Amino acid sequence: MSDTSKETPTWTDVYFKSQEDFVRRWSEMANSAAHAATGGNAGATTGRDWFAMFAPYFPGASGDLAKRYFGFYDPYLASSRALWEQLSQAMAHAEPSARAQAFVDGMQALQQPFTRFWQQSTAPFGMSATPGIGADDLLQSWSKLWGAHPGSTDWLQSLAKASGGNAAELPALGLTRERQESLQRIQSLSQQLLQTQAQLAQIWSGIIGDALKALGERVGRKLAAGETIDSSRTLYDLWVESAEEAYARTAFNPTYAKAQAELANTMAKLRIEQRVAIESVAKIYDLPTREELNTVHRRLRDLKAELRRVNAKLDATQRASAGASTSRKANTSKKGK
Amino acid sequence: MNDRTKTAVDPQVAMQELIDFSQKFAQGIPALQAAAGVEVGCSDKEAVYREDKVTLYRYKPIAKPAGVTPLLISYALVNRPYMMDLQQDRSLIRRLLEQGLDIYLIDWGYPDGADRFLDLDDYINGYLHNCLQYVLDQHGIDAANLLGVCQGGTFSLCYTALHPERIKNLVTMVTPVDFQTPENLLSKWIQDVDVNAMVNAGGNVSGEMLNFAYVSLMPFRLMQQKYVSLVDILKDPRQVENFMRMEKWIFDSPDQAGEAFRQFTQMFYIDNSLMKGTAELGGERVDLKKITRPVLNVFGRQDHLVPPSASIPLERCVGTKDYTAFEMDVGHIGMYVSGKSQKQLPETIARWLKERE
Repeated sequence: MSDTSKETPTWTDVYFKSQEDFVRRWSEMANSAAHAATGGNAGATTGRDWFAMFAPYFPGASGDLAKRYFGFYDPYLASSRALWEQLSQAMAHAEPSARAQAFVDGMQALQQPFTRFWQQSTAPFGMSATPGIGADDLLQSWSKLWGAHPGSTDWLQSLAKASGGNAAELPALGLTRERQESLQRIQSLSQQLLQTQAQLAQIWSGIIGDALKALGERVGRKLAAGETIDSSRTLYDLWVESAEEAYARTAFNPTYAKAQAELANTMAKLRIEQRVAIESVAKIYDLPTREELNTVHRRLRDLKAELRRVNAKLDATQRASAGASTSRKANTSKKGK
Repeated sequence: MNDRTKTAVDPQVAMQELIDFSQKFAQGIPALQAAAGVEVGCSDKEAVYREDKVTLYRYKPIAKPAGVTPLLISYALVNRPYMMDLQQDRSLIRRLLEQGLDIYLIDWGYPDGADRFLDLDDYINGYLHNCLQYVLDQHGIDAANLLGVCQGGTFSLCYTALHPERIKNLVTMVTPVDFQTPENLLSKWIQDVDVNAMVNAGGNVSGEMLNFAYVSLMPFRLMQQKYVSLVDILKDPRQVENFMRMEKWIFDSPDQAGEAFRQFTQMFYIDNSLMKGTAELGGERVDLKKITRPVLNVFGRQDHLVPPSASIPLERCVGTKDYTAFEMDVGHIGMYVSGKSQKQLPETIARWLKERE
């Protein structure tokens, strides 16, 4: 048995070299673009934040697109490279069946990186599902706000200290018990949110695993038949196809629907609780609250709806009256004949 | 040459692909920049009626009038109606105008926090009714033709059932009637969502949130592969412009008035009330059997947002004896912009209306 690894071209070196060239090319282009824009002194661009360099050249809607594009490029590059590497290693085996098996086996190692690539891809779509301001942030902001109000923060600080970060389990007592309960609900929902996020992340990890398995089988069949894949883009497209199939199987499953709904529901409840807490502060300063605005908007809407109903009745009465008049005229006319 | 070297992957291939990719992208930057201010909507129109954030447009004629009763288009709330008139060669409205039709279009606008309590009764018996009334008054007629698109099709069905005497012919396009068919992934997802909490938390339901739900139907294709594939068309400024126009439409999504969203979800997605005959609006039951005027139902075979199975049941729900189904081999978006649709659909609608004039 020969040592095939020594005979395998050191393609990764070449590949990385090409990436360096690629990066250099971008840097040169960015520098020349910046040079043209500033009239010189463009050597300071570092090439670390691609989009920051190019953002001024993508105004309006294309800026959003370009930002996404740059955001997608990295995970695409990383995933195609990882797949190509697996294919390359698999092809180092002499027998087609061994190549197929090597590729299938290699897919397991991609579980973690591909989960990470996917998270990167979805970042421009805000898929990380964070609830906006976190409960801890709110607790601190709230504490600061109340700190500006003499003598009112003791209970909150005591609560935080006494709870050791787990205030949700303490019984709410005393003058401020309603506010304590509000904070406790926020804490409890924040914990619940983390759990639902973790649950969904686990399902997503399963989807990526299933997708890689499906890709392994798909490519493995080709390799076992003595075929190969001659383009990393083709390999990437096969990955997307496999991923969509794996995702569809899970997405139609009630478990996924429930996990996703649980996340949405918890976020909604948390936001409602956060608003209640914030509005209690707004009231102290006699600032208008959402609740007050809602009351006004609801009254306006109801008034307009009532007006519509009155108008409809009026129209109907006028029509009936006009109909009766026409009918009377017709009858009179007939009688006259 | 042994077997391994014959079939081994060539590192040069990967490198060449990478270089090609970077070159294409670099060369395409001017096309991307040029498409920055992409414009949507190509046909001349005039705002003829306004109420709150709603605008009714009348399109200027571009052909000899066909002598057909005016057609009012009721689009969905969830996207902007310029999709019906995106660009010269992708405009159903323009093709309909070429057929000599007199076209009105309802633009529902962008609801904000002040509109959160607008409900379906306000939209259907209020805005839609008033827009139609304007058309009737202007033309001195008792009934007009109504074309409902997607969610706007569901609105049109409700309106026609409640006011059958005001509609001469009804055309529904990619319109869901049965909201709980096995292929309807959105429907499966919404069943466990606490819509009351969602609306109470945000007042309105953000367009971004809805877009996220839509791209989540095929996330790997719509959030990743689509943008990787963009590199393949960057050399063609016209294709880039088309891409950007679509991109703008897809993500230019108004927020949904909270109360209307709550009702729509509850009545249709959760209760499936059009199928059960239990829908109610403004205190009146929406009975689709009361639709006795001619109905043309258009749907796409590959539609993943409103699967054919969601539209097809309309036939057995309505009371008309003049029902026509028109299935096209397109997806949801393809129904508006595909070449196939541009060629066949406007002609079909115009002919169907002319035959019933």
